[in-house]
Amino acid sequence: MAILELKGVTVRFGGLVAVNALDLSVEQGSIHGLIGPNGAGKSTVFNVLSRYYDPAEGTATFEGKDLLGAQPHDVINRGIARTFQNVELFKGLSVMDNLMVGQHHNFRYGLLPALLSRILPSVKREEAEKRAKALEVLEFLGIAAYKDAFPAFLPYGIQKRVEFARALVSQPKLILLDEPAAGMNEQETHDLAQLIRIMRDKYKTTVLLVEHDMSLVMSICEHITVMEFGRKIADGTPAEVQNNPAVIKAYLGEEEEAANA
Amino acid sequence: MILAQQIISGLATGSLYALAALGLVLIFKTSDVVNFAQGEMAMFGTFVAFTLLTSVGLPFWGAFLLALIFAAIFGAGIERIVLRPLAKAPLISVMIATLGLFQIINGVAGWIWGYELQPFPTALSGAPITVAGIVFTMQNLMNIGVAMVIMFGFFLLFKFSILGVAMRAVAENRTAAKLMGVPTDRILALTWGLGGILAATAGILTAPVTNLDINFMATLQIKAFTAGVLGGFTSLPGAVIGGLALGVLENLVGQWNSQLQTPFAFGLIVLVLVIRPAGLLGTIQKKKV
Amino acid sequence: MVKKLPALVGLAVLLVLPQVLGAEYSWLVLLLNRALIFAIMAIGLNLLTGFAGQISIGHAAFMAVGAFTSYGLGKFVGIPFWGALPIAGLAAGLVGYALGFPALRLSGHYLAIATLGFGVAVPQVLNLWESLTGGWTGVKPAAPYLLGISFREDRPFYYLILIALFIMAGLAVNLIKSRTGRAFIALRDSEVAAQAMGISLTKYKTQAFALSAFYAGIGGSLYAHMINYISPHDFGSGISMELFTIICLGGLASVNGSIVGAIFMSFLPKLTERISLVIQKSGAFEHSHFLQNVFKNFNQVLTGIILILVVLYLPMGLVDLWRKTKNLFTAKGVK
Repeated sequence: MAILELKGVTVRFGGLVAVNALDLSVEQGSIHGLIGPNGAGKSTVFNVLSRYYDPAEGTATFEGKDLLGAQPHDVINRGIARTFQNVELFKGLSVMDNLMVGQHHNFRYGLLPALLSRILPSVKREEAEKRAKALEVLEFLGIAAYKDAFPAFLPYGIQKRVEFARALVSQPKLILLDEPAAGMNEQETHDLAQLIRIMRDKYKTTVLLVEHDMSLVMSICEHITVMEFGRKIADGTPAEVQNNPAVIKAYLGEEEEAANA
Repeated sequence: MILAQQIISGLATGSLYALAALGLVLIFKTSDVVNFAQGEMAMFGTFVAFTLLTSVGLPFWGAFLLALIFAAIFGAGIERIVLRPLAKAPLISVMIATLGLFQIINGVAGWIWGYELQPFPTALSGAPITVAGIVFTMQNLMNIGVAMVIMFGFFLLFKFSILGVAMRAVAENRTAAKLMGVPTDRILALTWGLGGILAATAGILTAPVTNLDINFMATLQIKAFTAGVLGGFTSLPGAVIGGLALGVLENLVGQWNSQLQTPFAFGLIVLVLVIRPAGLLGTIQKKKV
Repeated sequence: MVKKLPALVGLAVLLVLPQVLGAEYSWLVLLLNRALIFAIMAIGLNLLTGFAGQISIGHAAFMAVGAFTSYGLGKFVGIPFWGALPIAGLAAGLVGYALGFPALRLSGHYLAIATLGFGVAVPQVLNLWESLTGGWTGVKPAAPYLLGISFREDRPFYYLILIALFIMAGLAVNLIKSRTGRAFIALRDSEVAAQAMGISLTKYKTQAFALSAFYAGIGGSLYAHMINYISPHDFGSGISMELFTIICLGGLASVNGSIVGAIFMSFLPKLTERISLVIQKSGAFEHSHFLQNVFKNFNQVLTGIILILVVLYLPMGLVDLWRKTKNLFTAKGVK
């Protein structure tokens, strides 16, 4: 069963068509890769799902319900969490507090109790519960040691993990990972692949990821969608996609460009 | 006919707003700084002109010209000494710095010139001219005339000179401009110098009407901000149109209740920003994620 | 406990200070009263600017709303100060909430400009409302009265303000460590990420404005009844600038910094005035008009220089200076 379904989604910036009539179907519980050369429109798709961009045409449904009517801050209530291509951690908050913000939508108390947060027992209890939950996720990702650190002092790879943790702690049904392996070495990438798989199995989360690192994508994705110039050029299992002539051409083109540059 | 008269006086005030707003927007466009000290730079330049006129005894246009040269050096100096070290600082730091400059310039001007209101001589005096039933005072004619000349010269510079091209390049994309060999540091200093000239011109033209003290630019500065916001704050023609429009609208409101002019300007800021945040001619950049 | 030591020492000093000061230091108590009221308002402004990242350089307008609401309730409705104080806070909060909506569409520079305009416009509008505000002549709010104690004297009023500061600072500290405080910081640091975490910009920005204005309203009410004479023009951009300077100097996103900054900025004019008096008495600059002016109005320029120096060398404010000095001794350094 498809948990996320995009039909004919088109995004235009001025005269530029960033995403062109994209159909995308993500199966519940799957790890789905969205790949393509630079400028293919992958991040734009994420930003449509996060509701930062409005598509000119097309529909998007999540669990059968329209997603495009949601405000950016409603998306997480629907069960979709995300990470960002260039880490967007809150630099004024510790790692732990970043994960507390990740659970923001799960809190029950409002402004007035917040003004007495360290006095009211109900608020203290709720805070403690959420803290425990955050710690559990940090431990799962092997970064509990950094819980009191501020993001700016952490290496890039750890920051990426913290962001991953912040998305995961909201207990999403679908998690959008925007280039999770960027800036990581081979070993770290390998560990990350393991983690994503274990996470999916443990938390029953569906994963949609944009990634440049082919080894990561091919090793963990069950389904891959390939985009080029805003269009979908291939869709299928890693094996099918790898042998697709259009895909080979798109990627060879990129390599040639890289070689010429 | 009364309406036409109102519009003409509105345009005369409006051209001062336009000048001041143009300086603000120019600096904002190229250096990403909203200069809260702009009005004080104008005030300081006007006092320099005042000293040249009264103590040194220069003729008006001589004092005017020298004051503009001073304003240019002053503006460029401020950029060099205060703003450049903050090139990579967050927005709020830069804003704090210009607010600090505001205090320093205002305070130092008080030290030098004292705190009394002084009459400021006007260049053109003479009987008002009446054309088709509309009265043009000499001051109004001069405001409109000088503003037009300065703005026209400025547009020629910006559109057609190498310097103008370089300034536009820096405004568009500083890193790319630098890579293309544009001396961005020098361009930024120059921009601040030009901003200083525009501000001082507005100040020298305003002073004969309001008289001169260290706070005489405060109201005009708020109006310049309003004009800038009205025009979009990223558009130079927008600043001019915004300034003229504000002058005319405000004059019409002032007919009804002159004390409501500033609240009106604020109302206009809010209205414009809510209905059309990019102003009349501006563009909005969305952050990329 | 050791961590809280400076705050405890500070509190102890504030508690006993008016008692140890003799009658000849009454001016100092008055100045302290002013400083602590400004501390309350600075904490509020810091919630908005330091924590939520929304700039306001027109904050005196909220103070004015609080001051005149409090006065009006006493004068025309007969509500005593004790009832009027929280209502004044709420009234200012409501205005802040309303301003929050247009502010939503604005960020950074635009917000600064809009709040600047707001700060200039409100006193002018209040000035027109002469039946309430007295216009240019101003009005005289009565001194508070409770359980037979008059708070006309500065010393009793001092303790009243101190209690208010203690409560307001406490609420702010609680808020910062709560879901709402974290949401403020989150939207300051990254609006896109905050939204992705379910933080509604509308809700939290308007809340920040309302809260911050509430603090200013409380401060305005206290100020009105302490000073016993107010006019719309007492709440001009000078006060707004002072509040802004206080939080930049004391430290953005710091409650303690707001208090330290407020005390510093309230005492600075007195300090420079004293120094210039001494210098003037010495007759050293009798013949220089310029130097006489310099000593007459030194603190404005000093304020400006402080702002620029803070920005260039101490971006985290005075509290950071304290932290840095402490680190020198404990040799703990940054984690």
